[in-house]
Amino acid sequence: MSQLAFYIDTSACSGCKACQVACKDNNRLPLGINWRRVVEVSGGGWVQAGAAWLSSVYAYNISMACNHCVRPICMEVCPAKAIHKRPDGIVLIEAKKCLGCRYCAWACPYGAPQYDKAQGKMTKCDFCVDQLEQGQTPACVSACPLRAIEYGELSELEARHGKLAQMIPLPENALTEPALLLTPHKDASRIEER
Amino acid sequence: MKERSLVVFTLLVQLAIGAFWMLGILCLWATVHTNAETARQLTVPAFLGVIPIMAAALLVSLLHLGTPLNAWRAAVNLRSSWLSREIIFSLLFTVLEAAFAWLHWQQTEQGWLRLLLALAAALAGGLALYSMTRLYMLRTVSSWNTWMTPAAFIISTLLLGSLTAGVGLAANPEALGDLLRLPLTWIGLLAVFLLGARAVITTLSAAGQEPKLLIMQMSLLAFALSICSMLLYQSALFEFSGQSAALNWLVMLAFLAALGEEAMGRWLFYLSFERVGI
Repeated sequence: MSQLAFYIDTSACSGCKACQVACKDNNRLPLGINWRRVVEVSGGGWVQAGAAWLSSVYAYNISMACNHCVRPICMEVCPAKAIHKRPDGIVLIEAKKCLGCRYCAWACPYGAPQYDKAQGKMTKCDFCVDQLEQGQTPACVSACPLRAIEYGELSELEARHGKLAQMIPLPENALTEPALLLTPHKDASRIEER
Repeated sequence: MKERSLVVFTLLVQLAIGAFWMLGILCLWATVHTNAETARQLTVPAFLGVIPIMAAALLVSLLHLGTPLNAWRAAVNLRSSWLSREIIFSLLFTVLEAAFAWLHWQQTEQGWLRLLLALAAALAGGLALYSMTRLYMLRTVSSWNTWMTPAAFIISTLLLGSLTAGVGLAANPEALGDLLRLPLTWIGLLAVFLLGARAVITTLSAAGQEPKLLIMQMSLLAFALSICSMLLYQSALFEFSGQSAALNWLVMLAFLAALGEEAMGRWLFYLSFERVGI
């Protein structure tokens, strides 16, 4: 079975949020709903080195949307069978079946399903499926000025970038097997060292 | 907040299931110690009362849905969704309980059918409670995926169920006379034990909770515990003549105190939501 996936180069991401804005614009998302979000991870402080105090402050960004998981927990828990996985691996919500119980929002460890109060339904990233079918790229991929987001077949992306690294603050991959690959920012390892 | 309706829904369902189980035990006990007709008269109002409680619970559950017209779809994913299973078993419990209560009320001769319905309803209630527990024990929600979730739900079920049965008993003291002392003593004892267990769980899950709300929960718990201790003491010393009205009020107060404490506890449970990831 085919599986489309995103690749995010967090070592290149500047946190400009162009992907977030492009997604919001392309999908005409209302206030408060962001199918793609840029999350800042920061930490550090002052560290004593002999007689000196050195700054160890760091910050990096992760662009995060629905990861169209291989084992999508949203689809598993949805009582209405309103979420399905297409043969190409894209996970979609069928609005007409959704009852707006928000159980998928509780379950998803990536915060992907978001509730649209006006519609009374859940919404989430659809991989810009309409554009894909017209041979175009997803809005977030096109918008990134640093070319930090790619998409493609999971196996092909893995061949190019390696398997998904476990990286803070992402949850354990085994929970849902996200179709996501990341190049960790150099400072991501510093969190694990602490 | 959508959790308000979930607090009401989960508590009412647990109350109804617990009450059905406890009333079943009481009915058997009363049949052995008095006769079948007394047992029937004693439990019929409470068995019938479970029906509107379940109906209210199911109606309240609609309030947290964004599209209530699609509510019927909540039951279609039995294969993998614990929420679907919870709804199906809750509906099944309601139907079986209503059928049993009606036959029990009508004094039908088909005792085997009543027994079969009662056992099926008790089982459906158990499965609804199990599904409700599994629904919250999501592998991605670290704060709920612990032994404390089933423990809290079982405590609510038995506590509210036994006190509801107690209210039913004390409302009709003439039926049992001096015999009323024994079931009420057991109910008081069970309530005190369960509230003690609730205090342990509240303490163990206190980390990260809003201090004001936690203090409120502990105060309600202490109040409920003192009322239930009074109930235990009074029912142990119970003499039928002249005391039944006071005992009736005490059981009612114990029930309301426990309900308030459980509602606060459930509210804190929803506030403790903490998921892994981002």
